Amino acid sequence: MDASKIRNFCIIAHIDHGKSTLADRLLDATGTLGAREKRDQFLDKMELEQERGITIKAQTARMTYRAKDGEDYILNLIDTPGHVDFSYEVSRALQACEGAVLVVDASQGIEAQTLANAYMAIEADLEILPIVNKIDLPAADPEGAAQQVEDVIGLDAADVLPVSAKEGTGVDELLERIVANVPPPRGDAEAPLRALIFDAWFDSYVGVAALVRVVDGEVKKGDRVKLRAQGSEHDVQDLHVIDPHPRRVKRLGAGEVGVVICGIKSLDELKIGDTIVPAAPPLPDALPGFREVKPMVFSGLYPVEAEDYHSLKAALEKLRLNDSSFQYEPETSAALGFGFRCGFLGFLHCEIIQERLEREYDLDLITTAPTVRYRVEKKDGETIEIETPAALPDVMEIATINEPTILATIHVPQEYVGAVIALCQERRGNQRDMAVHGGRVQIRYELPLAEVVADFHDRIKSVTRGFGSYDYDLIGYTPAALVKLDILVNGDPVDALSLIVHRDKAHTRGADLARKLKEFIPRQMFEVAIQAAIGAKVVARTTVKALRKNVTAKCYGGDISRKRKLLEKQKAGKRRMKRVGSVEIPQEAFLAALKLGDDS
Amino acid sequence: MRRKDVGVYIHVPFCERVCPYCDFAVVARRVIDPAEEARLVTALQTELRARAPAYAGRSLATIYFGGGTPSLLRPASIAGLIEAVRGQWNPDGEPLEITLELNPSTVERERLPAFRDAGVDRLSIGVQSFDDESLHRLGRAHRVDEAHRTLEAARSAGFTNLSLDLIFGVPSQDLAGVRKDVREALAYRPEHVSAYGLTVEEGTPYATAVARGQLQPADDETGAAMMEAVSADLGAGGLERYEISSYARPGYQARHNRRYWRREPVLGIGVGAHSSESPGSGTPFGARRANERQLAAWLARIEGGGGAGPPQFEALSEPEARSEAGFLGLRTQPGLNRRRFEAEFGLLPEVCWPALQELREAGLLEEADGAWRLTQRGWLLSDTVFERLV
Repeated sequence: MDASKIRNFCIIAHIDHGKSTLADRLLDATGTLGAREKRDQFLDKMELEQERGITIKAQTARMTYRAKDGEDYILNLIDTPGHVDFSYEVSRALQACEGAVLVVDASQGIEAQTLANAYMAIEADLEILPIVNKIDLPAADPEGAAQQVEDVIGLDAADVLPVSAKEGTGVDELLERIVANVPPPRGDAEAPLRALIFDAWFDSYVGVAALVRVVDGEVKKGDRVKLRAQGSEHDVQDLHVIDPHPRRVKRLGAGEVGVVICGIKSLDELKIGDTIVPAAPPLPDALPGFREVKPMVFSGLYPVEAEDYHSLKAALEKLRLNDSSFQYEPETSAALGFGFRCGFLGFLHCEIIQERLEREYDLDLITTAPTVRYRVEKKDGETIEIETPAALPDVMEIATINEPTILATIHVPQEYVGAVIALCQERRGNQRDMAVHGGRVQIRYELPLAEVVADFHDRIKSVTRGFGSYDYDLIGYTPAALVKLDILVNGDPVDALSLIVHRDKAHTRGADLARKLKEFIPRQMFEVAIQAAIGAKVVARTTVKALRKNVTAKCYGGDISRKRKLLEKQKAGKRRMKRVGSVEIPQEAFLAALKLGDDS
Repeated sequence: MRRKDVGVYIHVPFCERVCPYCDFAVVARRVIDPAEEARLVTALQTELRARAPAYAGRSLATIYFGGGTPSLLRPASIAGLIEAVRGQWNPDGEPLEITLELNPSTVERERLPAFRDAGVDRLSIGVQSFDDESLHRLGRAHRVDEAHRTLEAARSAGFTNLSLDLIFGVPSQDLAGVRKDVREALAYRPEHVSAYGLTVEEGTPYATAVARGQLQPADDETGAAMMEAVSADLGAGGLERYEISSYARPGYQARHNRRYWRREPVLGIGVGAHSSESPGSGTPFGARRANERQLAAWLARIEGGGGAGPPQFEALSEPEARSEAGFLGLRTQPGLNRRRFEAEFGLLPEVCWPALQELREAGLLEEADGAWRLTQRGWLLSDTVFERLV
């Protein structure tokens, strides 16, 4: 394969700006997709992704395009995940490209993710081809959007191509520009093999399939290769290109994109960003930018029905086959029984896993409040990382608790600036800076990750009536006045409801939780005290008064069987309650209290 | 089953009107056509003849005419039915308790001497309240003055075993009103009082009204206070509480009702009637049967010659029999006798239900003189206790 005829590029865009539609149109225009397969957004495979209109796992497609110069070019379209939680995966996919088509919605203009992705692409040294999409819309302002591209990103407005992916306008011109402007792959075809793994998935027939970009050298079937960071050696069993269905090839040369199958059984044994090199020394250097992806958000997942524990376990095992960034381990809660502590890249990731479990595996779940990984410096000099409130050491042993901090970049029309600032302040934010571009404002805030994991994205959307957008980067750990808030019923802690919160918020949060529980805990034969406490100090208290009267007046003849059946039914209902100490708490109480965590 | 005897329950489905809280098998009839009455009595006798053999070899302990309003039947019909029942078991007439449920009304009042002649020796009078507003709320056909007249007439007719039904917790009724009802009832020196907290049964017009927010039954606190006051006031008046809703002077406990709580056999005939059988072959823990709830369906079966077997049959399992023994025994003042339970089921109640200890610690149960009993607080929370016994 002549590397000068290859163009590797990606499409980057803010969510909903039409990335997937454009990708489909390119497949279409190059005749890659048979008429039978034409279906909206071919590249978004998972049902859930289609529903949410976002791509979670990156996909790729190889197209052959005869350009106006009469030559055939191989265009590798590398799709990138479209959410902030997956920024590392995005960065690796960008590394596999030489160019990026930057899509800006002609009516929406530049949004937070447009910018974040554009910066990432610039950092990755990609040639950027800006386009404004959806020019067919009545509200489209292609010139305004193009001017924003110049003002905000610094690309010449005159170079911005107007496109309607929906109607196909400008698509041919875009293909020409890709050929003309995206540089052919650099890299040394004669050097030892170096291939970047930028995506991987599990296939039940062949095991792990790694999507790679060959940077230097070539890889052939039967080669003995090594995963540079992982250190493991494998034989290459099969090679594919995807155009857009997998097609077997004998070799992949420098500049090419394809799938390497080498008998790896589990996604755990292969890391995104790792370099495939020859097994025989001398080992070439790894490609730059590799890092281990660690979960950032943690939550307990419990089956509503205890007997679903094993189904949940099996489902988690299956999901993990295809998503090694998601982690889990068994956890036991006195209140919720047997479940799993799970780690996610971010809250959207958490939500997606949860929804897939409920939808694809038909499981009813209780999810505990999401937490982040805290770094606790103890008085004895030891530093530990904790991912669950239960793991927090005794207050007396703690010197400092540090929490992960992000830099959030928020883009909003001017009229919503006040609302966004209020939201960020309420979330313990520190404003970094603010810049005005035309009618839109970019606000940057340092925020505790814990304050944004649950619902920040939704809140931004709601306070800006959908016009605001948000992206974030982790920037480090910051000391904070954090405390563990426990909920006690008649003195017994309800472990599933413990939280790590900022001291200033503990009272309100505790009172809200206690009130919610009170609503759902039925009156029992004794009074039930619900308390919220920090250590031994009670910060909120409420009581469920004792049941006074629960009696059936008549019990003759036919009443007896009926009464017995009613008692049996009530008992079955009770079985679904969880006992904390001697107090019976219905499932709904936990659900309500945990839901409160989402929207407070 | 301590004695080999049987009680007979006869259901008469007619009522002058159907009360909005009632969930019994009832048909509204202002006046009963003599032909319809004759047809009903014949069907009752047919069913009795068909089913009595299953209870052969026992002595007859009680007859209970319930409803509905059985006193809407003519005394001759009642007399004929009593004769038929006696004829099946002990024509020579052992001491019996023959109860007739009766509502205050002119017609029924005038029949009282004839009912007594027919053999009825106990009346259960549906007074419900001595307050017209409450009677109206309950949808009752009678008013207070008729209740007074009926009670006086019952005594004049020579009835020495009177039971009054009272209902408390009626919407709009307050604690003082309930206590006044009890006082007025005591003035007749009744041998027995059944005082029921108003229960909103599913599927009744009351339940609909409550669901729509049109009717507010007494709240928990008020209901509890009323029950405590009723119990205390009746106790002071010489009526001892011997079951959750039942109060009696010494020697006047309702022998028929007691059969249910003691799980003694009862043959129930008539539409919607329930029967219970002692353990037998194939039913080692006894059985329960239920008749059709629709008058037409019941008549069709009886008149079609299918009298022997009511449609619904349920053989009790050992755990079911145990829970019934538990929650029925605990309803009563003698309570759940430990040794008797052990003799029947092979283990002591507290071994069967470790929760009993916990309920004792919570102050709902006590154990003394070889029996488990509800405490004062336990009477009010009996369903909370019973839930632990299934």
